[in-house]
Amino acid sequence: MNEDSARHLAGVPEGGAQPQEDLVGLLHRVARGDERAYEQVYDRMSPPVYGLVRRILRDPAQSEEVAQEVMVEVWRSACRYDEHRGSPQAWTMTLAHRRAVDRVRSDQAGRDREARAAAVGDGSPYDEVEEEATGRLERERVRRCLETLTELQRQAVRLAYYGGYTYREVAKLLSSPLGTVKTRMRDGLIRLRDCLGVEW
Amino acid sequence: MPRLRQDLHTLAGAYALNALPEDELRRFEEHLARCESCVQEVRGMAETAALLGEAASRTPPERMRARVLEEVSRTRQLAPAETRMASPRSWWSRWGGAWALAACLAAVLALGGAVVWQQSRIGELEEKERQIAAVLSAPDAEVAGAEPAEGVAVTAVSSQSRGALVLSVQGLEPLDGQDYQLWLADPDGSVRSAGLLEVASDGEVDPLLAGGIGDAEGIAVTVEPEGGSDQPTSEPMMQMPLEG
Repeated sequence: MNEDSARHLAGVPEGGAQPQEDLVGLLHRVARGDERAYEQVYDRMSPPVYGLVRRILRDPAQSEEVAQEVMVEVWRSACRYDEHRGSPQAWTMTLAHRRAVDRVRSDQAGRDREARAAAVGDGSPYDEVEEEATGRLERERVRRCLETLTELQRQAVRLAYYGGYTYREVAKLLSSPLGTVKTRMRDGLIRLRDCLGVEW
Repeated sequence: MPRLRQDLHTLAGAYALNALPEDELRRFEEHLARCESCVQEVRGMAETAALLGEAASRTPPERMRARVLEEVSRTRQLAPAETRMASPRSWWSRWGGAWALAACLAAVLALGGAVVWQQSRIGELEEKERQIAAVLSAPDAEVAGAEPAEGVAVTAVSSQSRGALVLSVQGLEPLDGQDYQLWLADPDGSVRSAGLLEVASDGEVDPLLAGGIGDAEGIAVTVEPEGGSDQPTSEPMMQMPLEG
């Protein structure tokens, strides 16, 4: 679909310096210990990191703590980032998701599955009352693409990604067979990928 | 196990969403190590998932910035060398003589914090490394170990289904003008070469991948003139039966 998003993801500049272009370069500088470059990476990536972690964990204090860990991890392991293997965003968000989910899964005892499932909400990426300006366009685009999924695809994707559930838990929550849930996650993501114009 | 394979393939979505329980995560990653198309698919899905994440963007509390920058200023970064976790040299040397197949797999497939990341790494292993990973992760992989001399540890992982074995040796003295050669012993009593061990000056030995093991019943290592021989010319310094 739209070329902008593809470029955004591939980090390919066109007709001048795009912010995307230097996030890759910035991470390389960070890998060499450049703290100023890191500040820019922080400013760029901390809202998505904090937003995702908070979306999964809900609790503001815990989210802040985990987001902080993730951002320090970006500094620590910047040398592991390789632009041939994915965008800086994907790399960072993978770190963030993993950390947040580790926290959720290690905290099984204090976790009320049903309540959390309900709290995942209607499946929009951002469902709090105080809608923020940050990333509004991206959010709109993602929301539109999520709407192109079937109900089961959308639920499966959102419970896994925003809810931090394993696919087995998702199957229970949705009272669907495991095989169906696996398949819906895969074809749901494929449909989303195509709708969002991801080119990898 | 065709059913398992197909099953595994459909896990790509759950994997990209970080929704696999621990045991299945490991199995899927073993599968990924041998499936380039899956790596590609997972990559696109991981980018897609990242967009879902970015869509949840939210301004963090202002105080977090100062805290992170402060912590960063006193946090040591990983050395670039550590990024090669998936290279055979590091996984073989990491585990030393104390061997278990599970252990080497864990090292190969260790999660360095980023699931997909590690994965794309494995997807880009050199051909030899890929074949090594395939042997190590084969369902019928057999591990055999020996300590032919003090301080020398030999480990062979063989897989009938892959028709190959991987030999790891540690503690060998580098030779001058001679080579260590690996031999396969066939049931009919004949012996054939399976290649030379490359010993670096620091004693580090690259894992040796030997294909076409067929029905070989055992392996042996001898010291041969530089470049190796057609048939062994000295007593084996080490020999070991292969399970099978």
